[in-house]
Amino acid sequence: MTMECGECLDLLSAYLDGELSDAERAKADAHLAQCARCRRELAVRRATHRLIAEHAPPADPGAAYWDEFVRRVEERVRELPAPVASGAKASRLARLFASPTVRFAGGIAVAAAVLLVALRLTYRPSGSLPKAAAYKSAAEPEAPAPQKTDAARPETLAGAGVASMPIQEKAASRDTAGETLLASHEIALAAGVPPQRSGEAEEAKPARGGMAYLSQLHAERARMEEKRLLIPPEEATDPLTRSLREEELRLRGELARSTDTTRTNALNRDLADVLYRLATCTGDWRDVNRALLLWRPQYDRLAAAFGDSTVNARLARLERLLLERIADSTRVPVVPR
Amino acid sequence: MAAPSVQTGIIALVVLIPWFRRAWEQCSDAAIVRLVLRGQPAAYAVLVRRYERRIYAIVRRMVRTHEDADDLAQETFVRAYQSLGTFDASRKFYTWLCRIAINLAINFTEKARRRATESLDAHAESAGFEAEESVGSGSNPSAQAEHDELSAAVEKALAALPEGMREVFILRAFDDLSYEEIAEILSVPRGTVMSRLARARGRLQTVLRPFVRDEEGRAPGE
Repeated sequence: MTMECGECLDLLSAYLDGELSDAERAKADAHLAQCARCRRELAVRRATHRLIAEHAPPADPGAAYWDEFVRRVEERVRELPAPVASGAKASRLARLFASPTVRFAGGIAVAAAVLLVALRLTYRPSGSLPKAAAYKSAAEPEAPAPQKTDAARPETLAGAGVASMPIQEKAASRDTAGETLLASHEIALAAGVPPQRSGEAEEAKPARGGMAYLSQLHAERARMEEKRLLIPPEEATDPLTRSLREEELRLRGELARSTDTTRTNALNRDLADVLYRLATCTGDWRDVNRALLLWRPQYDRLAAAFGDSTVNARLARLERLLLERIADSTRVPVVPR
Repeated sequence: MAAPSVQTGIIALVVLIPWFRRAWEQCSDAAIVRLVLRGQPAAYAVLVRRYERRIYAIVRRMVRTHEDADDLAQETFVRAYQSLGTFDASRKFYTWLCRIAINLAINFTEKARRRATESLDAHAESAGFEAEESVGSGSNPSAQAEHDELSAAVEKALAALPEGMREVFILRAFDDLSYEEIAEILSVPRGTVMSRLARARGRLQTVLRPFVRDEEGRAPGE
């Protein structure tokens, strides 16, 4: 394809500097070979360049000047503090922390902090309700009140919280963190999980104050948080939402029964798609949450199925939706902690 | 016995000193910067010697007098020394140095321009400059006078380039830097360098057209 004069003139500056690509240069050469006007313009530019180069202010005041120049710079530099690399500043800080006094003080501070944390975790004023019980009763006022024995013993957080859950959710709460997807009440329902007696949750209760107790406490808190996020959405009124919900239930049921890995992956992918459509269709924060709870941990698998960019875009949209709903505080119930 | 050993020592010094000096001068910029930062400020002189001419040449084309260029070039090396701790060793030292020089020169010309517009004396001086130029542009037949006239015209044309175009043109025309290097120094995209250069050349060509002659001494279009 040949070049027009306008395009050629635009490129003449880069042509003179040898900064054109091979293809551009070849096109410019071909045009210049047949266009006298552009050749003349190129000659004028070269002549202007030569004129400037020959008559620009002199840039070399002479050898004596350069010796003097270095000497003067050295003189000025000598009066300045020595420059220090940013890394060296960090090592000074490290040296400060290496001093025995600072290390001793640091040790005392760490020990005090550990003691305070331990006291905070183990101390409970007598007669007060355990946090989990209070949390639960606020979150689910419609649920039956916890048994007296559960509320009276802080170490039975699991019992206090889980015993009063609906049966299906209690089953879900036993799932591991990796099985978050199966933790909703619908799965348990679809899978036909047998009802669990309240005493079961207390069987594996560790001794109060130990590491096992602390880790169970944290796990229990995480499960409670998850349960709060999995509150089922409102009953659907429009046909699209209704059909999506039915599809979701069907998929969850199949998923719970599925034993074949390939089939499970395909079902998870379909479920993710349905949940995403549901979330964007209703905009309900609970739908958005449930979709996110599937999309986030399943990122790799979903990326293999839909592609990275699709997954990223969908996650971004879901997160945006969730943020919008959180901002709209009237729609998100505030659960006391 | 003592005399030969003294002689040997002197000969060794005569041979070794230039060798050390050459080795020193062949050190990379980054290595010298590291030396300075590790408490060898004397090594900085190597960097000054390495780049003093190029830095001076750039600032000299951005300001009107040798004295101003001298001050700015010195200030560039002093400022670079002060900020050496923040220098990113993954970048080229000269690019970083050049950026300091350009910024100082831009600030200087901006202040000078403001002073000139505010001060009546500066106005008179400027008028004098114009007058001198118009005298120069008269029909002086001598080659020196013609050279002076052309130099004044070129200097004036360069000074008249808008900020942004002038630095790009000077870095390209007088320091022979690539578009990529100029883009890095001025923190602008390569395309901007390209378009600014084209516009700067267009302006210079318009202003200097009366003085331009082809290789055979004819005015273009003759």
